[in-house]
Amino acid sequence: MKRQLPILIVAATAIFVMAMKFVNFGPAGAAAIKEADVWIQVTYEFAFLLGAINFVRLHYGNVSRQRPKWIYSVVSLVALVLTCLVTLIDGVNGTIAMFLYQNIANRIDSAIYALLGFYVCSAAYRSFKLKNLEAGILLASAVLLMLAQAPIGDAIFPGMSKWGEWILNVPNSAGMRGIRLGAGIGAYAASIRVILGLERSWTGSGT
Amino acid sequence: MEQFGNIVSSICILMAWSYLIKENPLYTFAEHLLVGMAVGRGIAYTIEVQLKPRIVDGIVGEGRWSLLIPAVIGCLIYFRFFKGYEWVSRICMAVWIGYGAGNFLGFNPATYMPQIFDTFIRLDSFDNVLYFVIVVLVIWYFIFTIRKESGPLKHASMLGRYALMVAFGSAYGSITMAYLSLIIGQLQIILRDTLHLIK
Amino acid sequence: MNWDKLQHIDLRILYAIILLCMMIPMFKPVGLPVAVSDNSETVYQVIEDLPDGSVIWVSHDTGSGNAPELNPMITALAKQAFRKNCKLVGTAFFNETVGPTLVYEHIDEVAQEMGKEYGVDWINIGYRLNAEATMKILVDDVWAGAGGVDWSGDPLAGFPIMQEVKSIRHDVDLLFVTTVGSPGYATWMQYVAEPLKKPLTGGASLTMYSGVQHYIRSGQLKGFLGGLRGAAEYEQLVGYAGQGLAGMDAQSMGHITVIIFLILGNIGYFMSQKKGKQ
Repeated sequence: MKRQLPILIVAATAIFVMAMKFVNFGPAGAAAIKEADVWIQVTYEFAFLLGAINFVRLHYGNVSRQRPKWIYSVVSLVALVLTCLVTLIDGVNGTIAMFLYQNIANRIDSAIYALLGFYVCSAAYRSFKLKNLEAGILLASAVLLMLAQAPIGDAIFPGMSKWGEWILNVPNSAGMRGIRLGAGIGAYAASIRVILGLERSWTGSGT
Repeated sequence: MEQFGNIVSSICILMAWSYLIKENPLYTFAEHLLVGMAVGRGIAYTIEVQLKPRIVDGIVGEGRWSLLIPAVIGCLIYFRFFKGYEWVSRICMAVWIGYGAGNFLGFNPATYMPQIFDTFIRLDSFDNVLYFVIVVLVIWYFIFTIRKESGPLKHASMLGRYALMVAFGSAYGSITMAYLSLIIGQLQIILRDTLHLIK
Repeated sequence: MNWDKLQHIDLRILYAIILLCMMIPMFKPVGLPVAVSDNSETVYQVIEDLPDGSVIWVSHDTGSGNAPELNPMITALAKQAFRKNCKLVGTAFFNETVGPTLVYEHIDEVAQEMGKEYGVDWINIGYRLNAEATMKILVDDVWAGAGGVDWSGDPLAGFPIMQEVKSIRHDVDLLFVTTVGSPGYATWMQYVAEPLKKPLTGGASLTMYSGVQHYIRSGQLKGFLGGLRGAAEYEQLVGYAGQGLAGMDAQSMGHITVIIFLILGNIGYFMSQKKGKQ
């Protein structure tokens, strides 16, 4: 029951959704699938606290057991409560809520992500070595694209951007399509395995 | 107020970038502040924009009491916090997984098939021939059920590998550009909006 | 010479160099011309070809990380669309907090400049949990998909634009999606554009731009803008200098610096290999 019920539900839900897509049940079918879509939205809405509960449990545990750097967990918990309260009281697009979110959270988020810009430079310097033919092709293609996509490419070698466009549109696009076609078949196979109950790792019982 | 916001923004950027020197308390503080604020705003947004209208207008206002069924299914996910009853949360997950898999199999072929059809293009130009050949070579490279240890089969597979290197190289070139433009975005906030040093 | 040293320069020095190199052209802009690619031209033309007063669905599916690349696209789109008196309906499915705020801010800035009113000429529906289910509902019933409210929780009944936009199927003429991952252009293509045969265009972060090319080739995407460069090209076509164009000189210097690092790293590698053999 504990193992079989979820697998049965997966199969039933998937077959229902596919049947509604492939078979014309008329207005009743359209109404049924619309209702099902709304139901799915509602399940997500009522499950939204899952991540937040996990987050609070983790940080509350850090604080109560005074684990190393527990003080930062206090920062996270206080930030959570304050932001939540301010947004609820001031409104989602209220002045204070927007100020806090735009000038603090958003900025830290994008600045941390921008660190990748520095790492991509150090990766180019430390790891991108011309060790064999494959690495050579990879490197040539990357350098060409880098030159072609910045205006300086055209300034140094006129017409460079057109070459860059060609690489993107022909060899790159064809390579990516090959990957897409292969990955698509894999994804279909994985979905069918889940529906048939052959893929059960998500139930905690292995495959 | 706008200038104050820009100053706060710049301080936050510098706190995050201090990590480039080495891991330090300023960075860790900024990191924890961010996750706390993001989760906090996420909760408030969902309550305000989704949960409240759904309960007040939908379930109670319009009397759509049938929506209590998915509401209960959604709440089952919290059983994962109760020892011995974790399996109940899988009922909710099963609905989501089944819905996702059904949708994928139902809707994805419409985006997938044009990719196949478009590969069989008229071979009337160098680009088209090259395109077709590369797609075939790459697919060939990914077929692992056939032994390709020697001869033309091996060489075709190797060519497929080279074609993939061109694709990955161009992806790396594009990614470099993307990440550098993120640095530009932050520099503009510091130098233009806050310090007014550039236009 | 000790070539090993060339391979082991302190990374912090490299970071300082890249930062400096990118800052110099910000102080002394060169204004290198930006050649417009066919893809950007197509995006501009698809919007230009819409009849005046059409409805464009704008989904800013971004997190704050890639937002600096994609925000200028939204601003430029708003300029072009409002010039043609098109109406805009905004959503954001990638991130519940970032996308809705940014799409609001960037359209609002242009709307105020061009005298367009929120709720009349444009609206922001924002984020809803589960993009797949929401998109499927939006196709035939925008009100139901949005749960009857806009991004700040105000009832849709109070906004005149929503009397015109009841469903994507009948009332929307073009989908413009900026994308950094999933949900993004692929989700829109799967659940909305392909089933309804609606034109889908927009822009992607350059992190995934090389992976969308085959969809442009097959016509499933009507052109697509690529990162800050794509935004700069689009700004040029729309006819104003915004954030995209402003960053292009710094971008050029950044690329040259990365290529120099690459060459330095390889010289160090080859010379130390050679020395090792000797």
